Amino acid sequence: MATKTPLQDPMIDPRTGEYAVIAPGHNFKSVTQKIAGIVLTSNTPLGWFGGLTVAGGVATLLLVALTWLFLKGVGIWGVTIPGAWGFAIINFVWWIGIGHAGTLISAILLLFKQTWRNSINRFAEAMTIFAVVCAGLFPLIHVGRPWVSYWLFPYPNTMNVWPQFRSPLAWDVFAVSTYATISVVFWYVGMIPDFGTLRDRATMPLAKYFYGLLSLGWRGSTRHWIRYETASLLLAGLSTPLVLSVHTVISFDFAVAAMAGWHTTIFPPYFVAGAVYSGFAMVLTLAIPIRKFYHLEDLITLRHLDNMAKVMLATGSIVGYGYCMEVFMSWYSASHWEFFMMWNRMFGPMGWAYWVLILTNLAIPLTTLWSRKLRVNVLYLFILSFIVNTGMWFERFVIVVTSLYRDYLPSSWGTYRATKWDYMTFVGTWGLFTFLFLLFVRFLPMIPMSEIRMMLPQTKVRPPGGSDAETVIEETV
Amino acid sequence: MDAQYKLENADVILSLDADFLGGIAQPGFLPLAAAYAARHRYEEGQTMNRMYAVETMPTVTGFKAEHRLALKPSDLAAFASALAAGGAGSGSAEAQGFAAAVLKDLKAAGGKCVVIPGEQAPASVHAAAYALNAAMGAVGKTVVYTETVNPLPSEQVADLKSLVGDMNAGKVQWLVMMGVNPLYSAPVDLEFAAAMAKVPTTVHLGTHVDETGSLSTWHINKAHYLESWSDARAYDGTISIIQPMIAPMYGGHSAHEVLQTLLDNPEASAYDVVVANAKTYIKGDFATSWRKALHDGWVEGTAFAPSSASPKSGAAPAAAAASSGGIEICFKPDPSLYDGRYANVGWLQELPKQVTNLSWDNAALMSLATAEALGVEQSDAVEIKVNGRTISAGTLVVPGHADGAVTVHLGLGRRVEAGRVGGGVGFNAYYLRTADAPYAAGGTVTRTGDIYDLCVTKVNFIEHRGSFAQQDLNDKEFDKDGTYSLPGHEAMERAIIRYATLEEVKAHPDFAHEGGPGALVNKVGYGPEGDTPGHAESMFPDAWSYDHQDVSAQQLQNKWGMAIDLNSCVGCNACIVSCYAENNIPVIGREQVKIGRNMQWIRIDTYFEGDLHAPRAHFQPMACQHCENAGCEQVCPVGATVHTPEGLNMMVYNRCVGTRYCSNNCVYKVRRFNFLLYSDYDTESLKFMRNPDVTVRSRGVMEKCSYCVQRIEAVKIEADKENRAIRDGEIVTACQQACPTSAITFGNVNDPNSAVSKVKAKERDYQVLADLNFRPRTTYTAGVINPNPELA
Amino acid sequence: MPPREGIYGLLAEFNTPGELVHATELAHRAGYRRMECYTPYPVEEAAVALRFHKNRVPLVCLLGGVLGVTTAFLMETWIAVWSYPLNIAGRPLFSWPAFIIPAYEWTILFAGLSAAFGMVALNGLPQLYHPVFNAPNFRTGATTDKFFLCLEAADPRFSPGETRAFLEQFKPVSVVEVEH
Repeated sequence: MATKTPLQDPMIDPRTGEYAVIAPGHNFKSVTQKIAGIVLTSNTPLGWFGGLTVAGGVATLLLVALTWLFLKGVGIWGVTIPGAWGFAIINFVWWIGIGHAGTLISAILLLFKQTWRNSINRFAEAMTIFAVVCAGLFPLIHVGRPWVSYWLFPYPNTMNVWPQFRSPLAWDVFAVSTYATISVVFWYVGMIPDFGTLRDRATMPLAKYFYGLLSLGWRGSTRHWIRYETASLLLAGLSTPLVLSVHTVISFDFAVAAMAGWHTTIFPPYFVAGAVYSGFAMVLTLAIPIRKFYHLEDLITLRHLDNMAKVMLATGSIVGYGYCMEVFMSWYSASHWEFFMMWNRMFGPMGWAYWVLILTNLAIPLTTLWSRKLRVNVLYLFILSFIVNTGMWFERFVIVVTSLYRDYLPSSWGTYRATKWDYMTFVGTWGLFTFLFLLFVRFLPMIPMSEIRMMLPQTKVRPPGGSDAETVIEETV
Repeated sequence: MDAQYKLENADVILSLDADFLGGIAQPGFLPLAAAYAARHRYEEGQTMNRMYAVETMPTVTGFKAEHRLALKPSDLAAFASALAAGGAGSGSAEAQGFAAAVLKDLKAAGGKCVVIPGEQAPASVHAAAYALNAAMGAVGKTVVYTETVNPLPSEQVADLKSLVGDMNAGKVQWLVMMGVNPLYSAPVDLEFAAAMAKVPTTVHLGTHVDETGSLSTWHINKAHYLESWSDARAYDGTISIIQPMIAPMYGGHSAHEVLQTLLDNPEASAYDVVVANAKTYIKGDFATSWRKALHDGWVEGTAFAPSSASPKSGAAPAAAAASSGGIEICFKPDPSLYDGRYANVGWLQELPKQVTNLSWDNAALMSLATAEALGVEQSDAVEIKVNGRTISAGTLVVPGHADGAVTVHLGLGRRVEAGRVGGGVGFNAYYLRTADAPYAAGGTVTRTGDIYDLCVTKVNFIEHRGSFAQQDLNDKEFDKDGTYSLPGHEAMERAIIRYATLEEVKAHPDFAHEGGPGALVNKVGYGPEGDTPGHAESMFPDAWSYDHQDVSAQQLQNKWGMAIDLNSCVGCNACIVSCYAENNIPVIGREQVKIGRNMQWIRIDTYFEGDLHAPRAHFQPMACQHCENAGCEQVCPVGATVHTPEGLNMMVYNRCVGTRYCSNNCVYKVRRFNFLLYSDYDTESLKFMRNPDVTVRSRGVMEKCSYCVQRIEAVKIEADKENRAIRDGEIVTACQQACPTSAITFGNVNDPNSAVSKVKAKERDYQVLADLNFRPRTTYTAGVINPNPELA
Repeated sequence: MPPREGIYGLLAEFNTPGELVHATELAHRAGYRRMECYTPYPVEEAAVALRFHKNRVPLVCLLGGVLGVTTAFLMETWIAVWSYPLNIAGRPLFSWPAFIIPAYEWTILFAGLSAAFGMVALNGLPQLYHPVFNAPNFRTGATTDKFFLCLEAADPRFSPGETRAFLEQFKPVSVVEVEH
């Protein structure tokens, strides 16, 4: 897009030089119409149908791969001894990591009163939920006997057997189910007022009925709003330690194990930072086409993109620190296991993966995101978001595969080669994710209308004429 | 004449291409291995023996030897002849030095030495061995000659040639072949198939309608030996009665029945025949003696007495002329499948062959230098041409193979008639083997440009180079410019394999607790005094104790443990097969083994140390270590693997969901996973094969060595019924039972008098990866070798 | 419950939040207590004008959190120590460091669900029908861009004429009667 000079561009605040968070000229009605219009329209854009068909087709690959998996067994994948975990766990961690950005945007940025998050938090949270759906598939299907996966949950049974709580996988069950539940609840609660709006504005009876049920009868009562704000803040306050803990617990899958390259205390912060990193990249991957296609550039502005890029820079730097610490510690620890693991990771037969990782995760993003010009360049950010997500996938690949395939006893060194079913399952989840996301975009309000209204200048409560003394509100009564 | 070797009396052993520890094709392998191992133990009050090996293809015998010389077949024959003549011969400087040292050592042994020629070595080598044994005064001490076990000794190749001649001339009307497969394994130049076509009636008695049976006029179902009455002589002449264990499952007939029918005596059963024959050699009251023979398994006093005659030492036949500029192709029976008769046995096909760890395949086995000279790399396909006949094979580089020679194993490459398992596996080396050159022949080997992906079970030594491993090699044992194995180097570095020479162990008896040579591993798990870290030193006090008093038995509870003596293990693979038999381990097939999913609960890890042109190899049996602080137990989310009060790490198959975290957290990687439905639920006959005391595992379930818990429990039940304590040695695990050298000891560690406690009390006892503090119950006795100081 | 007769109250519609807050404050000073504001986004000043302070959501959330941590921790302890004690890797039966993690997760789960569903319940939702939905302009404005003040008939101060006049002084967009 053509860059305008600061003086010409109405989106740039002349005082700060920053892009505005919301384009000037909006009022409550225009904001409502713009967002609700996407959902309540009777003319679904053809592009949406096209996207849905393609996504559905790709998701069908997942269905085929899963069917074959359940018929034959986990052996159709490339997992073997010693590399007993492969794409399934890598994809699991990758998807959960992506989800974390949504919660960070919804919760942490809310607590820090970063109002710019208001326009992106709804679809980021939706992204989280669909990412958790895709992620949650993998622990259930990658087990040798998926029909008894439910044994991982503590339910009373006649056999009196229970999960074994010292295992990080048992912790995962609690963490991921809590994360999924709280994310859905937070997301839904956030949409209740908007469902009210959609219920009121809908013309088709089916839509009225559907949104009416979902809105629970919301009428905008102030007392309700106050409790609602409290609940939102509480949920945000709870989601913050939740998002930090979920990926920490996922990192414990590795950190608690004995393998060199896994057994390290840097993992919890490194994983959380990495999760936010990849999550924001995915938010960019979604936000950029959406704002273009649905003409939402005045609600999701370059300021948002700039800020998201800055978050990526920060978290990417933490991830880079983590990588440097791993290398440093493998030397400083004077532990032969660590030293060999790191040497093998960099220069062994799978060393190519490590260098792809460094290139895509560190070299490209951390050198270019310092430039403001690039941070507001929509095309560059779109491409970069794929590069970063590729890098984050390779990070988990390097962690999972290189530590397993050459570990303590040299006689059991092996290799890992993914099969077409591995790829098909993975690609299929992209299709599933996109499919669900497109459904969300069409049928649910992707930008929170009530929160956008709160950002408009019209919200300022001015006394209507008269002196201030008249409208001083007595607190004592 | 047959030679019987008394290795318990031998201080010095020279093996001339004799793989007597390998188990295949060596008569008397079991007592030979046991005797060798007994003298090879480093113990108070006994002198350790020393072995020299000269061979072409690396074998376990060669790698157990303190000193090994790799020579291609023609050089080997020349070497043997020169040695017998008392000189060093005209070989390379290395070979001459070797010969000089060997001669000196043999002479110094004062008759307590022996030279063993290989069963596949040419006649000149056998003659040389006999001459040396006679010259050294070994006859009567370490080797005795007896009459031969073969009741009709003859020159078998000449016999076969004359038969074929007769067949071609039309002189044969009926050809009855019992238990042989000449269309597969007869020398190819005899052209047996064409000759057989000229015989009007051919009858084949065999367990399978194999290559021969399918082209014979008649095929008769042969009963398996376990379904029949027969008799046989052991390697030392002792007669044993073969008794049927089960009625013939498929209505088979034994060779006796067929022979009697041919003798117009069809009513005579095999039993009648055997009894009639037994009456000729069983002394005393027949009924009692017969019962005793059936009960014991052998007939007393039928072993051959040493013969005073000695082999004729005539002019030794000339050694096979070295092929000029070509490659010498060496034919050896397959270490697992012998001559091919076992090709349809899945256990043996899947068994990783000794030294090469090749399974479901045979290959063109050659040295690094030969491969380089031929311009081939691992897994390249090559064409081997002998006398105008060609076959193609995959290349497998074997460290320590003689240069200028390529070994091919006989016994594979069978056609589909071999059976469901054996058909179409590998290539048929018999196609190159002619009657006049059955052991080695000159030929050429050329690269075809194709790839042949071999199925090698464990990390192939090829994972070697790396500047990392190069950089800290300041030990003089390693040749910095050479090629060596990274896994082997790491095994030494990580003190996984610990061994020392006799001098070193006398100077430092506690060497096994000091870490490997130049080890970087911190502390290798032992304290400064060489003791295991005290449990009290840990920040986390022990939550469980295995020293409870068993009130009813008035003694300490059982605490199971195992000790494996690395000196005794010869890498023969018997333990692996016994584990298959005992624990219903599934055979998974070639493609799955190639990916790395083989299901062996116990495996023999082979590590190559030093320059791969002349390496030392170490064999280490590795099965579940039953760690007290097991990594696997902690990470199972459903509690499918738990620890019993007696110290076993139990795998609960029906609770396993299959997350495979336990395998990831096992530092010994001894856990095996059923990635697909590997167990064959459909084939009816396999249901007879399985051990009913052990679960047959289905898809998605993890499994591993259980210290044969079914045997432990069976003994506990018996002891309980009889109201007594368990005797030491009463519980024998399958691997322990099968091991010919008694390398594996299992028992109650809480009993200070048990065999296993005594082995573990040795100073050389160590845990593998002790510093990780998993506290394995299986420990290893560090190896001791007895090298000749002149050759070191 | 028998259907109510008569009107529910009077509903005044405003264009800006400032007008609404002003009207609400003055209504409170005039003695009205049974009243409610309806806005398309939370207006804190309106809540202050209504003197609405009693927010029980935090307490419900806290109770939920406490319930979560005790439930999870006790469940794990009971399972590991009494129900089916097993020797797992030589670890003590009461492996409290490991138990902390699921307990932590369930603290958040229970607290979050309590906060969310507590809020919904305390708000009296779902309540798909409310008399105020009968007002003609309510649906089109309350959730979009208009601000409403409703003085309920149940208030002792309420009288149709006077209250209407009271509301008209603020020059609202409309004043309507709300039927039950």
